[in-house]
Amino acid sequence: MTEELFSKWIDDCLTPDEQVIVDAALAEDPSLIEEVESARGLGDLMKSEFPASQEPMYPDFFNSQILNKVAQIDREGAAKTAEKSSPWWARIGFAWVPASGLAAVLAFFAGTKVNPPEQDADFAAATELPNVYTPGGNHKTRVVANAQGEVSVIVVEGLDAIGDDVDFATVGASAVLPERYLISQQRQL
Amino acid sequence: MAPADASSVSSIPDDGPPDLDLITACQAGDTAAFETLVSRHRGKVFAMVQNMIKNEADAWDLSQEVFIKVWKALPRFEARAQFSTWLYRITHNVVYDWLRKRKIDSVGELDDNLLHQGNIAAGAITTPKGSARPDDAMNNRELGERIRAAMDTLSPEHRETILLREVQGYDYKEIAASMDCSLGTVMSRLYYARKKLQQLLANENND
Repeated sequence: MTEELFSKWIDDCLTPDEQVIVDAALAEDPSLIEEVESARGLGDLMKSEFPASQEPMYPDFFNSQILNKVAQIDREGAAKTAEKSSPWWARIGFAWVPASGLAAVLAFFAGTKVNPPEQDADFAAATELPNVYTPGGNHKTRVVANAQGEVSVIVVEGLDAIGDDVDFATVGASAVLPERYLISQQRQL
Repeated sequence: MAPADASSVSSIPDDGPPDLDLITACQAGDTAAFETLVSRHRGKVFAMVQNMIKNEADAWDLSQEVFIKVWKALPRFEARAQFSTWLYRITHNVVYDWLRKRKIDSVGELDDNLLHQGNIAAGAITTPKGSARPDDAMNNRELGERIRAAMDTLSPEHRETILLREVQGYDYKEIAASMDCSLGTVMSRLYYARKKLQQLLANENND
């Protein structure tokens, strides 16, 4: 007799065919009925000890807390839906003001950099120069120059930020460097 | 709770609209209908959670979490199964997430793989042979304490299976759906949970 059959016997869920098998097993070992009755008694004990339903304490408060949370979820959901359904320019709100200002500045600088079409080929031919010496261990330096050598860009990555209190007009060989700069140098050592 | 008819889609309580009608209203945003649903089912949810984790304060919080998850998931509820089974599946997930976080390990946890037996022969040694029925030998209060202590030794999966069967009256298919496991696993867990509880109670009786 399988575990499944035994459990179904305890639970009175046997099919007619299964009952035949159980009857045969019972005939062979009548003590099996004691085990079944014991298991059924266990079930009754469990029903008496473990409630199938138990109201939580303060049931009205229990409900109200859930409904408050549900209302909050609904509000958040409604706000997201409203945001998604509005046109894109309405979604960015007042951010369009500084964004348009920035766009104007960038357009100005782009205009100052635009070369006559015949000169674009120079920049198309700009290359990154190899063998660039970088003194600092954590720094990375690239130099990009156009074919004529008239424009070059030096890109240094990994430098510490320069403090706002550094006055380059007065900094010389004998000038005292800002404390923040000195501290950052000490950390690297 | 009487064993449910698997073909029924919604339970019809003694008073009030059926669960399915309330669910339809909830899916349309009716929070009053949802409160009715909560009031109707909170007792079973709270009882099951407390039976599993044995802490009333945490059971209160987790039961609320169950219903909040129900509200969020209601738009996806399809009336292919009984609401109570679906509700209990959410309860199961909430409890197990909480247990995982608390890393509660039961003493003497039964391992399905280690204890699996394909067949039980009539009269085999492994068949439990209790010398006396527990309910004949102990008074009710002591018995209650002992059965609770015995239940504490079961793994969460075995404890839940036997609670769903013996206390909540779920049939095997409902248990399998609620616990997201196969019918065979349900039968195996049920068998070994009963076996272990009988052994523990019989051993205590013999002490």
